[in-house]
Amino acid sequence: MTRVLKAGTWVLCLASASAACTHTDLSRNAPGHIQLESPPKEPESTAAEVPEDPGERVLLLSYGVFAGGGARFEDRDVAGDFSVGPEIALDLGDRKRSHFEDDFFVLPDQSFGLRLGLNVLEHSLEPPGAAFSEFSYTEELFRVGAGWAWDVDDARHGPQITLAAGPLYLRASHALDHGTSVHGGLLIYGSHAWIWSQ
Amino acid sequence: MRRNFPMWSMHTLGSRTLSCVELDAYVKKSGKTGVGIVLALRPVAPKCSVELEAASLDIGGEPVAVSTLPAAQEVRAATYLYLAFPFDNEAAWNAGRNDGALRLRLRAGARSEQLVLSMRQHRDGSHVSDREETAPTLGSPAAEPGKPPPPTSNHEVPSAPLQPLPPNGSSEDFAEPPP
Repeated sequence: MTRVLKAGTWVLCLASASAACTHTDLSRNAPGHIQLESPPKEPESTAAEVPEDPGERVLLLSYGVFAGGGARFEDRDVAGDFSVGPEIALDLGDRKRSHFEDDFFVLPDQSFGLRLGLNVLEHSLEPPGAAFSEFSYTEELFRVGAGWAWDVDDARHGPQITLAAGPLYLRASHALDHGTSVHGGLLIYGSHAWIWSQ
Repeated sequence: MRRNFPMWSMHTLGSRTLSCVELDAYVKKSGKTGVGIVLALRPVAPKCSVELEAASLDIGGEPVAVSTLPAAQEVRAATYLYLAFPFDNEAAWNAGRNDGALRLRLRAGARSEQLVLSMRQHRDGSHVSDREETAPTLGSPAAEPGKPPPPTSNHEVPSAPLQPLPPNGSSEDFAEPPP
């Protein structure tokens, strides 16, 4: 089982390294905003006025791998620690300005999401480590998440919080009655977004 | 490549003479909350009294009343009447109700005529070049010989004569516009 998880993690690492950010434009709610009752500015022109941009909604599926190192604090002992594992997330957010087709990234301005992950490789405990789930809020490139982590085979669980800025993250997990670990590291993500008009 | 929007447009666009006035109609605004249409009137006689007696839209079988019907007036120069038709166009687009018709009853001089203009809402792709494009205005000069015509809007529809109802005809008598 452990070997399978390790192999899966390395496969995800390689997949994430080549991951792309793709998106699908949906036609829902596509008409724009107009001031219907106000007279047109150039009534003599037969061209229709371009509507105002109503913005967009974005459903974002992210998948990738985190890898970080830090310290574990338990019974007044401090030990070095690291962790590697897969993470997937589903975010729902919006954009004030609709994206241009040639934008390099198409991400929501702010979003709420659910993230699931697994610490497959850990220094201080026998793998697999703790699985976790977090609810998160993201604004631009900054994210804060809070949730719970469970390490089933070691019978540990407890709260977890994560702060992230772009691909960098800082994560603190506290296993109840078993100490706290603090990691910082890198998140490598690919994503696919489904986008429709507000 | 900026975002593109669905727009209503007339199947049958162009001008026609009705008694003492030349009439044209085109969609000026199209959005979530409805459609705005301009009726362009140009007198072909020194004195011309025009009254729009009725105007309505038919959107996928649902009738839509005009917000305000313009008052009768003497047309001495080019005149543009703006007709706002408020309805939930976002719902119409989501439901695929993208075919419609503009129904007008217009009195010009002593003559009254009913017109039915087919309309359609469409969008050519989710994005469009953000290069500004302009459309000719009514009465703008034609392209110079040997030079290409001025560019038209993405939402422009090739001109074709308006299709009036036959005298005493009903909307059911109105034939589909030519492809």
